[in-house]
This record gives sequence, C-alpha cells and structure tokens, in this order.
Amino acid sequence: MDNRLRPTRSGLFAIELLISVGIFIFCAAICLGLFSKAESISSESADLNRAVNEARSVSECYKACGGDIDSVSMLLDSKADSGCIKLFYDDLWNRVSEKSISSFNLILSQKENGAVVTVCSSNKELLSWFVSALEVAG
Amino acid sequence: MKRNTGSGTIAALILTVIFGAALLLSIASGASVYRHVADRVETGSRQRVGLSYITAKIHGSDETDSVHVGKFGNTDALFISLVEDGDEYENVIYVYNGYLMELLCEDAEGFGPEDGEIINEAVSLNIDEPVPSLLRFIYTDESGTVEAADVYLRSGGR
Repeated sequence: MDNRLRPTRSGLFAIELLISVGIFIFCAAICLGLFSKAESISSESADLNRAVNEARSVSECYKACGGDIDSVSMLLDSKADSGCIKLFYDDLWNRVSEKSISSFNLILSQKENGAVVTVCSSNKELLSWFVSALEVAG
Repeated sequence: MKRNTGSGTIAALILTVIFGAALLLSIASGASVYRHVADRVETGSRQRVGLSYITAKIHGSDETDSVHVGKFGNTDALFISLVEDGDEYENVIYVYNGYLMELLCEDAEGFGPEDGEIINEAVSLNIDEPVPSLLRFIYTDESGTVEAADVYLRSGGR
C-alpha cells in the first residue's frame, strides 16, 4: 500500500494561484515604482520650468539695470547683501519673505563683469547660469 | 480516506482577494499618477502659450523702434512692428473679453480689440515699464493663476 501524501486538487490549485499572485505582485511592484518615478520626474520638470522662468526674469532685470545690484534689488522688491540678492518661494512658486517657510530660493551673486543666478530647492540645485552685465541701451 | 476541510478553498479565496486588492491598488495608483502628470503638462502648456508666447515674440522682434507698449481699446497691449517684403505691419498682443488675442494689420488705428485672433483663454494682461527698456508682464490665465515675467529690450525699445 502506498502511504505517501498526494497533493489534493484544491492544494494544487492554491499553489498555482499563489504563484500567479506572486508574479502579479512582482509586476505590480515594478509598475508602482515606475509610476512613482514618473510622478517625481513630472514634478521636477514643472519645478525646473518655473525655476527657468523666475531666473530669466531676474536675469532680465539685472541686464536692464546694467549690473547695478542695488537697482536690481529695488526692482525685485528685496534687499542686496554683500553683492548678493536672495529671493524665496513657497512650493507653488509664490514669493515669500522668509527662508524658513520657503521651498525654493533664488540667489543672484555679483561677480566680475556679471552675476551668477542660482535656483535651488530645499535639497538640490535646479539651475545655475551666468548673466553678463550689458550696457543699458540709449 | 482524506477528509476535505475546506482550507484549500479558503486559501484560494484569500489569494484571490489579495490579487484583486493589488490589482485595484496598481490601477488607482496609475490613474492618480496619470492625472497629476496630465495636469502638470496642461499647466506647462498654458504657461508656454501665455507668457512664453509673448516673451518669445519680443525676443524674435527686438529691433530698434519695433517694440513698445500702450493701450489698445481700454486694455494694455504690446505693439510689435514688423517688416515683411518691404511692407510694414503691426502685431498687437492683448487680452480682451476673456482671451489672449493677437492682431496683425498694417495700422492698428483702424481696428478694435474685437478684431484680433484668439490665441488662448486668459483673464488679464497688465504691462508696465518699471525702468526704461524693461517690460514687466503680469498675466492671469483662465484658472486665475497670476504669473509675471520681465523682458529687457536689448534694442532699447521705442
């Protein structure tokens, strides 16, 4: 007489189902990771877009003032401190007055023959470029 | 004879529930991400069609005496002079009746704001010149979002 345990039909079905669910959950985990990455890239792209707009506006002001940092600070309604202007923005890119409540900051630093505009989020630099000080036309 | 306790059926049922839950979770997550990405694309596109369109127009036509701001009807407007095959044209960009509009004509004097072509939905466009040759645009899009852009006229404007 054969005393070995034989798998039942329902047991085989459960194992088959377990394997299927395992494969599905593995695929779902990959998909969720991709969704999360897509969300992150999209958010970074939107922030970079806004950062470029803000940095471009500040650069245009700098050029319009012929590189005079005090005039630029008046134009931007901010203060210049040792050749440097700092602007703060919340997470919706609205200007805020304090660094403590800001999510992004823009720094215009005076250099020789121009300035460097840098936009940073709380944990990384989004962009940085050099603006040359043009002579004001006319 | 082995007795069937039904544990296999319960296990199968639990696995099916887990499968269904994982399926729903991934679909919901995908839909949410898709919605966010689509919203951001639309916002970016609104910005590009609105303010970026105006600033690109200026940069593309920034020649001596070709760009100035003024009133068209009762609204602030940007006037750009263009020369095409020896003929002079005037390009006027403004917001009228809930739309960002553009008018291309030989002389804007004979036209009103209602004669322009619709570019995009918008609420308002205010144009200021805080210092000579620097144009400040404050644009409110159809969702009520206010955006500002400064453009320095390398040519010196008019």
